[in-house]
Amino acid sequence: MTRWDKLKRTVSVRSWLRKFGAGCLAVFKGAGGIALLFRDTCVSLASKRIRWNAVIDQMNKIGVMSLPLVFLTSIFTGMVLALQSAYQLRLFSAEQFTSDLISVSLCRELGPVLTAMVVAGRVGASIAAELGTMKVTEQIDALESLATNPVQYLVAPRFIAAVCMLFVLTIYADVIGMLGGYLIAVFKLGMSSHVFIKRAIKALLVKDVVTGLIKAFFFGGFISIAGCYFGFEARGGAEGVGRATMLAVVVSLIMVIASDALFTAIFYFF
Amino acid sequence: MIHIQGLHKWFENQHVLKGVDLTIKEGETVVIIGRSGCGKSVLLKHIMAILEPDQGDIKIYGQSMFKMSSTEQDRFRLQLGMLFQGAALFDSLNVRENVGFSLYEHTKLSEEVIVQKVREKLGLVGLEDIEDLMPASLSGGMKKRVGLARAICNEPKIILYDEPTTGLDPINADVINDLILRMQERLKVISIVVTHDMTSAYKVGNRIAMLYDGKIIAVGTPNEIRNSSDRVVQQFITGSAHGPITDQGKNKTESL
Repeated sequence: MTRWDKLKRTVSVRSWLRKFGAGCLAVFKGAGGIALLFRDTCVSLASKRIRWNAVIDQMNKIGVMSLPLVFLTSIFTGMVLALQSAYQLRLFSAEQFTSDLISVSLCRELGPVLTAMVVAGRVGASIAAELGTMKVTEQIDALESLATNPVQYLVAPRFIAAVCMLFVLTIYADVIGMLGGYLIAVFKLGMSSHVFIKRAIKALLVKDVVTGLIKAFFFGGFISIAGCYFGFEARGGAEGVGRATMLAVVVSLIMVIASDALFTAIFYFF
Repeated sequence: MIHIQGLHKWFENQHVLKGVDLTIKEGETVVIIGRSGCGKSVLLKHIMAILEPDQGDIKIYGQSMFKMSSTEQDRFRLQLGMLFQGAALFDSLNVRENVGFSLYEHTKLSEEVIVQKVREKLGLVGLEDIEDLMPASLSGGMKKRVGLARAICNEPKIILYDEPTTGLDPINADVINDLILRMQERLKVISIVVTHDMTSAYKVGNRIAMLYDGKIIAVGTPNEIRNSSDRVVQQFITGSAHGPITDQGKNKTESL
């Protein structure tokens, strides 16, 4: 290897290390920023007036307006789950277990995770875009100049609404998903309606439903805080708002999936 | 009285304010002029304590907002009003809610009293019967006037104007200049106007300060500034494309 090649290699390793270092710094900065915003939100909730009118408005935007999307996602997931599980269970002549499988997998896993993904895409993006636009048009600075804390005014209502509505939407998704499974099992697979309902309820333990709802509670918090954080971090006009929106959705999804793995492991062992 | 001492601000590697010193007396209107991006708005946001300095301090009536708790800061901020460059009206609120924002948020006044006060402030800026309109349906000039009504709604002792005439046609710009003068006359407040519009600066300012390369390089009455022997000031106020300001930029480019 000539001296020139060695030099080139050193330079490329250095530039790679520089990029890697900058990437790591950005990840830690984001994680730290989200954690600090979460802390500020908790402090604001504990020490300042909660704006219930804004909370109800956000509940409508986050929860009620997500109902059609959650309905479509859940009903089709329930249908697919019924068809796929029946296809496999048929090999063991165990098609009657389809209802057990649908109810348990929906309540423990698919209901909360799919709902969180749908909400992260719809609501996380909308929060980041709204707050990002407010940031680049100096509306957040205007709030501060009018002696109003942006965390109390903007983040706290969204956080409470997202946590509560993810909880409600998950219950809704569980029920609609089971309805989708029921439609396939009864009208396509020839299972009796009575048997499906009886088996689906019998297979469910309180723990299955509760673990799913605990996850939903945390997912709501992650989505709202990530959306607000990236909205507040938006810089430089339309491009900055677009980038903030994209980051809010990507980071929310990663947080939902990673925390789901963690919660599943915790619930499995304890 | 506002006393700015040795204010420094870095944004990552960019040293924007490099030791700003300025004193603004009671009842005075000071215009801060300077090129776009030289840190004029950053300076205003420091006065409002929206940004914190890396070095230096700002004392308003002898008190530094940077040494206060966030609750004390919020209480103190009610003595200040700010008109933002793009007016920064809240999109989701109508004109009444925008103008009366601090009254709705920080007082226990009844709806009727707030509506009355909002109407009065809108009257001061020459607007009426627009309380129920949303910001999206207002023109640029109207937005600025609503922004000014919002800034004075709490009857502040200090009003900060960030580029009040930027983006307006000459007639609307003069309407805003007249409004600034009228506010000054009627409310007897300290006014700080950030602008690069020299017509506006000469008209509204008791004193003009020029911010250049992160420092205040000249302060004086409009006449003193007009007759300044400083070549940088002269190039800026005459709007010439050739001179020390542009030569410095050219030298930097060449050295690259």
